[in-house]
Amino acid sequence: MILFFLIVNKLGQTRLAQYYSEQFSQEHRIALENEVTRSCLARKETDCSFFEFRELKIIYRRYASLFFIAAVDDDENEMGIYELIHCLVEAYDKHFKNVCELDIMYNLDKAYMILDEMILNGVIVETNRANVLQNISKFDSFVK
Amino acid sequence: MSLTLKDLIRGVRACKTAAQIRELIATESAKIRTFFRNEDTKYRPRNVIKALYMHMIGFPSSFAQLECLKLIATESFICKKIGYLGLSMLLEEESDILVLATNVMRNDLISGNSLFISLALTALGNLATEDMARDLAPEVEKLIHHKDAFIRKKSILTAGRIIRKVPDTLDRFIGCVRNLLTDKSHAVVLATLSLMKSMIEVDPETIEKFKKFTKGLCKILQTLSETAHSPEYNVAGIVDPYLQISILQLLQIFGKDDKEKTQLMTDILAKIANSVQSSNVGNAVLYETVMTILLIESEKRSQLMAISILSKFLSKNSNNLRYVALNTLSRVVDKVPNAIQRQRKTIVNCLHDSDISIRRRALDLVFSLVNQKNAKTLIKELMNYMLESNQELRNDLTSKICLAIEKLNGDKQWQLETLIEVLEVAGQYVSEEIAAKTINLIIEYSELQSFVVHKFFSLLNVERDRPQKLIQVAVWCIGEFGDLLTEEIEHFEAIPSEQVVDLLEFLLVNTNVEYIKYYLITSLIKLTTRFPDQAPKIQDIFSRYRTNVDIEIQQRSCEFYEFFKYGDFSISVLDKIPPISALLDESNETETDSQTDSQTESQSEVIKEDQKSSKLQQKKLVQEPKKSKKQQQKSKQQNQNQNQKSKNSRKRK
Repeated sequence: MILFFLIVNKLGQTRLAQYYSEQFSQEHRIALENEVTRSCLARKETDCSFFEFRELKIIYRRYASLFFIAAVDDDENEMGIYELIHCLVEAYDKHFKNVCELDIMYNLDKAYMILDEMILNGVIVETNRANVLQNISKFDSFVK
Repeated sequence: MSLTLKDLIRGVRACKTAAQIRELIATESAKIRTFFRNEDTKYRPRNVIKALYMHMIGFPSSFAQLECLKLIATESFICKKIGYLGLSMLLEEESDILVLATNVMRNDLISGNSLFISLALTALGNLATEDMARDLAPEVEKLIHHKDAFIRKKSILTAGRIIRKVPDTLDRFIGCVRNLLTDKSHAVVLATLSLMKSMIEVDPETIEKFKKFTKGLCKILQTLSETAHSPEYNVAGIVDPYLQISILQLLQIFGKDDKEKTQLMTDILAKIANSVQSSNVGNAVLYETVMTILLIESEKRSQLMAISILSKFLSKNSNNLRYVALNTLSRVVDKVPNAIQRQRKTIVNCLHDSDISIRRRALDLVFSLVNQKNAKTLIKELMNYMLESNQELRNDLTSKICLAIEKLNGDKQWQLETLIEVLEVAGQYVSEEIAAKTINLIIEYSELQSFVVHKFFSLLNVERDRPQKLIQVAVWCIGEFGDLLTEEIEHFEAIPSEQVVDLLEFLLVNTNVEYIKYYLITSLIKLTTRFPDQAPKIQDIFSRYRTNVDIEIQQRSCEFYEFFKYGDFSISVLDKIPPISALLDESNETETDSQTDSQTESQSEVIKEDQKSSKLQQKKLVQEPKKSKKQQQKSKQQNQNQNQKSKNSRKRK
């Protein structure tokens, strides 16, 4: 199960944070996010994308200045989540046309919606980019 | 007019200092609050999303909580969307606002508008509290049969959360699992598998009910592995890898300790293991397959194949693969120890990897590989590794090495020599617990005490500036077994008693660590019985320390000094500590004997007073070695006298 999902820039500023577990209270989240990002930054490019952080397992991928970070429990397939992050980035990329940090910041609600289409309650819902974006455009057309 | 989110972000980015950002946010949130107070509806979504942004960069924004509730109560999709987003970001489970939200959510769930339903389900799935889960379970149950697969999958996952929050709702949902597993949509099947996992987590007894699906799940795997290409479920060239992984995870649960079910899976598992492409996502599937083969009751042949795949992972350049390989091996090391032992060399090499994640995994694995046969080489390897490892790992490493050494009681001499070596090279990382355990072993191995005490003496004699824990254990041993030093043994010469006392005196004068001094003083008093000829010298030392500034040292010196007035050093408290195993046996025998009990009590009192620092002695010295009853009574009297005296001596101070 995925416990939380973060998008953080390399200065440690959170750009998106979704928590799926009650074990992280609001007041501790900012500190937790900072610590996790610092640990990610401390790792070399050749290092593997997984590490243990307290009781959690962190899986991260870096795209330019952004870190996509997932914290999971012991039963999760690390390689699978690693690839899931890529699926998410592909979906963002397709939707925002070459996604960058500002796209995610300016379109916060959209960024969350795409994530929610892929992960719900810490479980993978859908990974196919086309299916995800189809749902998003359904929402968009309704708004118009 | 209200700023847009874009404008606010631009403003924040233009700020040069943190103070400027704080100021900007403070003015903006004041404005937002005014809007909220005036019950403005036009800019409400915009203001809430700005509050969410502030929340994310670490500023308080609880003032927007109630606004989120107002937003989801509207009929506008955009408002609802932002409202639900706000709820899941800002609120915690205990929040009262969530109680208020329940009714709005129910309306959305039964609205018939699939977009509203979807929003409500997502929010419910991510943040449902116990009360919410209980209240909305019937609505969610109905939605599981919705005609739109998009709603079905979300309601199934939301049901997973509901079950975890309120386990009684399990019965409500368990019936629909069978139908859902045959759903056309892969996403619905995937969601159902997650639901099954939640059910198993909540109530492990459901495993037996689900086992009947084993065959069906294998069939799905079969179809997936035979489908060459399916654009709808394709992820990086593999057909629905997440569905495959999820099925495999369930098969692990079903096949565990169940030979019959394992047989159903064997063929398909072997097929996947041999046919998956090696890409990132392909390896994810392969990794789960291997894990499954190793966790269920597979035949030896399959196990060996799985291990050989992992060893291929280990030899790859990709650190990610090596990490998962090591991870899997540590999980199954008890199940297939021999096959893994053969990979020992590769695993030990991983200890020297530049990546700490790999090193940690490898280390865990190496420790579980240590057995009687390979202990000497592996522990040597680990000791070398410890010397080159960084601070962070060392504490952990030292205690693990010591625990491993302690467990392997084949070669006692090797065991003690290695422990002494650890104390020597890494004494600063050794915990109090390990020091106590080392002492414990030395007491147990009476035939090696002479060797140990000689070894410690020569170590300290050559170089007196040693790690504290080494000095601590050494000093204790010299006090306890000092008499053995005057005998010559193989490799070590006899040491004159005078030299022993000199060494302890030197340490007492030169060390500035308080607790080592306590050990030294206790050891010195013990030496009075081991070397009666040195008693005057030791008395002299105590007389000097009676005025020490440290209260503990002063008290001990005064008390011990009193001992000399009796001139008889056959005092039982200074006797050698008997092996603890013998003590345990004996205490079992005498448990019913109340007389002995009372004696034990009075003795342990004395011990508490006299030897506070040595925890081990305090706890374990429960009883003296066998004595005749007369002697017992005599020593009891003596102890009481001493008790009295030492109390008096304290009063005098």
